[in-house]
Amino acid sequence: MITIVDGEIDAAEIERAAQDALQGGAGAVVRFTGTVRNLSEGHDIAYLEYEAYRPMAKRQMQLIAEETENRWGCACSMAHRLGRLEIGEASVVVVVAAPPRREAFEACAFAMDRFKESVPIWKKEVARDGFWWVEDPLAGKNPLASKPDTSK
Amino acid sequence: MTSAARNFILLTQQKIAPSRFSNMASSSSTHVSTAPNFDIEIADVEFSILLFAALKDAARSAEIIVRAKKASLTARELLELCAQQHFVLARWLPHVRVAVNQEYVALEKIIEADDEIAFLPPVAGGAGFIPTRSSTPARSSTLQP
Repeated sequence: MITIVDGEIDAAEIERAAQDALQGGAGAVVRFTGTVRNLSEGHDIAYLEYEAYRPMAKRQMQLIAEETENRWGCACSMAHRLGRLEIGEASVVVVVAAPPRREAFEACAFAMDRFKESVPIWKKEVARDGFWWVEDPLAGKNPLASKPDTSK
Repeated sequence: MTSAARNFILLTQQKIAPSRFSNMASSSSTHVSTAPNFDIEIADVEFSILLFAALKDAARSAEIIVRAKKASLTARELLELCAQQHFVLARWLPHVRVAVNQEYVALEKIIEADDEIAFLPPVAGGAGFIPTRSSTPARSSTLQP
């Protein structure tokens, strides 16, 4: 099950889908939940906004799930939420169901790593002192997004 | 070619041709259709490009048009034309990945004007704890060796 949603992620539903796909063959289910933190590089975060190239994001998620399933002989389900998210809310859920637990842990970490690399979803951090797109190579130079340099 | 594009060329020829040849007294009465054949720099093919995140903010639009003289270009050529025609995006373009019909493509990939084209800034989905790995698909920074 691969889904992109605008409201809260139903993590139990995502987990059930992965488990059901193995038709009783799952001995371990690993669920990763990514949540919104209140701090980013020293900035107080007020909330986040996620944006996606929606149809391509879903295709990329499908490809990653298939790659994970083929490599570990597991079942992989994923959900990502878009729009405004408050501190503590879940932005992403990745579930892997596998016969033994070691594969389930490894496959879940693999799927999440791949997700970060290639799924066209972007995150805007809105802090008390400005807003910026995470990973934006020009953040700070963009007049709309002035993230102070905290590395000095 | 669309009829709008054809009209644009005709209009341009009518405007440009007489002035270019205005010092050729003997040909002052020459009709456009019999004027010497010369190249007019006309970009009559439109490539529409989807933008996201920082690029969308910079362009103040989720979609832009890049004009070209031919209906198929490499991804690299399209990025170069975009940098010329949309100055505000030029600084980002070395960092974008190009997607065609919802798949990442290499810079040498041939793109047709009716493809679904998107310029994708570095992605940041999920949660913020996993460092970017070296297997990330190549970005267009290879434009600038």
